[in-house]
Amino acid sequence: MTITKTRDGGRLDLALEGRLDTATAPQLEQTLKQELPDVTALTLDFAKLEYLSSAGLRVLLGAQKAMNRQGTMTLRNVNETIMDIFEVTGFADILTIE
Amino acid sequence: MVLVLCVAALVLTGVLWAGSLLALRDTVLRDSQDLGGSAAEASGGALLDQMEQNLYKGVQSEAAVVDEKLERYAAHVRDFAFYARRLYEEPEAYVPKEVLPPDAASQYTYTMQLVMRDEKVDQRAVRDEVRLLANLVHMWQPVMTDDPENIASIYLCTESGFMINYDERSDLTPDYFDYTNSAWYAAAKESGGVIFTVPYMDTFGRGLMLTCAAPVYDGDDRFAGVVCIDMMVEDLCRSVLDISFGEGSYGFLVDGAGYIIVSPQMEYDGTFENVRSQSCLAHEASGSIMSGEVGVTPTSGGLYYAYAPIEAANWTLAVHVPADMVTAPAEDIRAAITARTDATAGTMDESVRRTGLISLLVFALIVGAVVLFSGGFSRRLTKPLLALRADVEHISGGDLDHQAAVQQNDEIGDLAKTFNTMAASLRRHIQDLTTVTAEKERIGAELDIARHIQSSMLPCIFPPFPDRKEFDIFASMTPAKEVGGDFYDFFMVDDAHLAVVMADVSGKGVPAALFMVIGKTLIKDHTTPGRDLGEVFMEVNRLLCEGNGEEMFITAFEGVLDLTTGQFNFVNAGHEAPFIRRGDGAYEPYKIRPGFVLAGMEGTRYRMGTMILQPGDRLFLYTDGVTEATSGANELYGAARLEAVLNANADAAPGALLPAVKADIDAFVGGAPQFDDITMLGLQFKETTHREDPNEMTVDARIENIPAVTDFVNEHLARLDCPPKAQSQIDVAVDELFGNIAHYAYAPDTGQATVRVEAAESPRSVTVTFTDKGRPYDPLAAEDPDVTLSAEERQVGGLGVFMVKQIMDEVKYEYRDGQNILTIRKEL
Repeated sequence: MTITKTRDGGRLDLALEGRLDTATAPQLEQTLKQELPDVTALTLDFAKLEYLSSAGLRVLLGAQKAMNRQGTMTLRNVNETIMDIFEVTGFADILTIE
Repeated sequence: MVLVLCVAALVLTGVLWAGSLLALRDTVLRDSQDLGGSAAEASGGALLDQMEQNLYKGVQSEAAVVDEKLERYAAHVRDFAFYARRLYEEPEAYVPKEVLPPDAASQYTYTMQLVMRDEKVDQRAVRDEVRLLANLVHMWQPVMTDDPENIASIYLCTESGFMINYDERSDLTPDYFDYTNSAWYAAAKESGGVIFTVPYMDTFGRGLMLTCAAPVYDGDDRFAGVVCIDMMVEDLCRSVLDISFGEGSYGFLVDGAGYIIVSPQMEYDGTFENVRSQSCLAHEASGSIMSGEVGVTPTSGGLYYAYAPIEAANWTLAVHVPADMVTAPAEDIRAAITARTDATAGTMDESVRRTGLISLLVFALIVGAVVLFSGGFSRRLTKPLLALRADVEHISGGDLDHQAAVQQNDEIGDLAKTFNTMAASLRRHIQDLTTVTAEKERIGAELDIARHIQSSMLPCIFPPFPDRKEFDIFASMTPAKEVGGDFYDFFMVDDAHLAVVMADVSGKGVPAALFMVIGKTLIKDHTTPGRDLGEVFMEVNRLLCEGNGEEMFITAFEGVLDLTTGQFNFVNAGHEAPFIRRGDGAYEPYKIRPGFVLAGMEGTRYRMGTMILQPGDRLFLYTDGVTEATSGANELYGAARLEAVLNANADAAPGALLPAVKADIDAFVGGAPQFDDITMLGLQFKETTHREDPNEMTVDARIENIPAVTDFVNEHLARLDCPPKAQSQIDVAVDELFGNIAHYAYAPDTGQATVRVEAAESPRSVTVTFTDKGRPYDPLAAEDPDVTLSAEERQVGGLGVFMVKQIMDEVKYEYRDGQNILTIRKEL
């Protein structure tokens, strides 16, 4: 998975490319751990993300909990497969998806 | 006077003759007895060693069987304890589960039942712990379902004062049970590892039981309780008691402290005899039995004890064998040889008596002739008679090659001729006695024994491995009258390798037969899994050369067939090349450059050859007794006739091919005597054990292998024109399920997992099966997580499997043959 980072003051945009699964989730978790402390608006761009598994959901849940305390988190360009996963797991109700 | 002298000389000759005859008989008899005695000693000793080795191997394999059974239960409780610790460590990852007190109405249904240690325990205080630990049922249920005949109940007892019992006899479960007083509870706590109790009679009358227990620790390494399996061990105990190496022998189990916990004399009243106590029969061998080694020890009381450790429970399996069971076969051989020697002596006595009688008759005739013709011619005869007397004295002195001079063509001359005839007839009789009686009888006796030993050592039960479908094998040996020393052999080197041996020992009789025993044993002992066959023969050659004073040698061919790949490794020490038939082709001699014969020269090097056999290929091994079978017209049977008869019966199974070849040889030879052993072995390779399956991938269950497994699955999906969305969903499922196996199935160790992809029509769908041999766990049994909670209340435990259930069309779990089998199906 490739993560493209764009930082602008309190804004952090992360564009994910590839698969967000057991093997790659720790990579995103590490990035968020470093960057998140002073972010107020986090945007995750899923345009090039093929799919995600529960390991990815765990990282998204952690990020959402953190951002609930310090700002906003938005997901963009979510494909159908991933949207289905968000629906069946109830994550569609927790996350903000544009 | 002359007459008297003549008669006296004749009588003297007769007496000397009788004396030398008796001396000869004694010498031959003594030699025969010596030979019989030493043959008896050698073959008796060899048999005794063999019997002791049988005991050694027998008890070792019986112990391995018991060990394997116990280790399976030990592995289960170890898994339970490991899983319980995970529950303590990560309570938030598991969904709480309710456990109710025992309800008699649930009888004959497997349920969890909550039992309190006593009335003092506060049920509310332990409620969360009960509901957390109840998750253990995900492991208990598959274990119980897999083995309901032997497992009576599974339960966990905690320091905090409650017990979760899992069985189908809730009617027998009490509401309170103070387990802290139970011996197993203290023992498991103290040992820190898996323990086994001694067998005891179940208080509910279910039979002979055994408890296997392991301590449970929480995340801070504090002792939290004990998890147990109660199992019925009637079968296990019976299999121990039924071990028999002949009449009067029986098996028994000894625990780590030396107590005999299973034996035919047991009462199961709670008392156990210690093997070290003076009153115990096995007392003298107790040191060896408790040594933890495999071995065989005789006692002065005329008993043998064979023993082997059972590591899973730190027990020892021992077998009690009366000594005469071990020594009886050797005594039989000794008796057979002695009887044969006695028979030889009897035959010899008979021959001596017959020869003596004939000689006496000849003497009487000669004496009569002398008396009859001496009267009138005595004077004329005096001179020639004196000469004759000197000759006769010479002959009577023992020189039977001396010829009496024939000077006249009269009665004296006739008499001299008669003496010469007599001397010649004596010579012939002596030769007859030496060659016919001694040689023939002795060789006959030797060969009988040699043949007996030899034929009893070759595997002769067909089919030898009835459960192996990969090959068909048949072998036969028809021993000749005068020559011993051919042998064949076949055996499984390990589960996947079959070895075949064909060999011919030079020489005759008992020495050849004994040399063959050594050769056969050495080849078999040194053919170990994975060993280069060239090395095997070099080592066998070195050992044979060491003890070979008789200048004997062995020609031998050995091959080892890898049943999974068809690779056939072979080595040839001066033996005939085998015939090979490829598929539907013809049998053809397979040219191999043979090495030098075994036991011929020290330091001979042998090189291993290799070929690949395909399923359907056949192999035919033989000794030169086949090709050198000789007809009445002194014509050899030859390789061309052999090749012709093999191809005439090309499609016959080995069991039919060998008799057909033998029948053809018999027809060719006709009534001519058989000079050499006729030995043959046929092998048909029918199928490989395991074909490479392109739909299957087996890898170490590690997180790092998820991408490889995903790629493998995707390759198949691409060929099926799988829509991208379904492919992504299947990839997610692979990630979840393979990830679960990698994380939990073998932790903290690692093992393998197999992923299999299959396509089906109507409806067009793809099935992916995940198989692992890790601890039993049914992920589908967990309750679904609540997906309506807010982000703050959310937990991630159970989400992956829940997702898979949602995005797949079918998800199934099964625990079978020690494997977790999880199958997902997605319609395309």
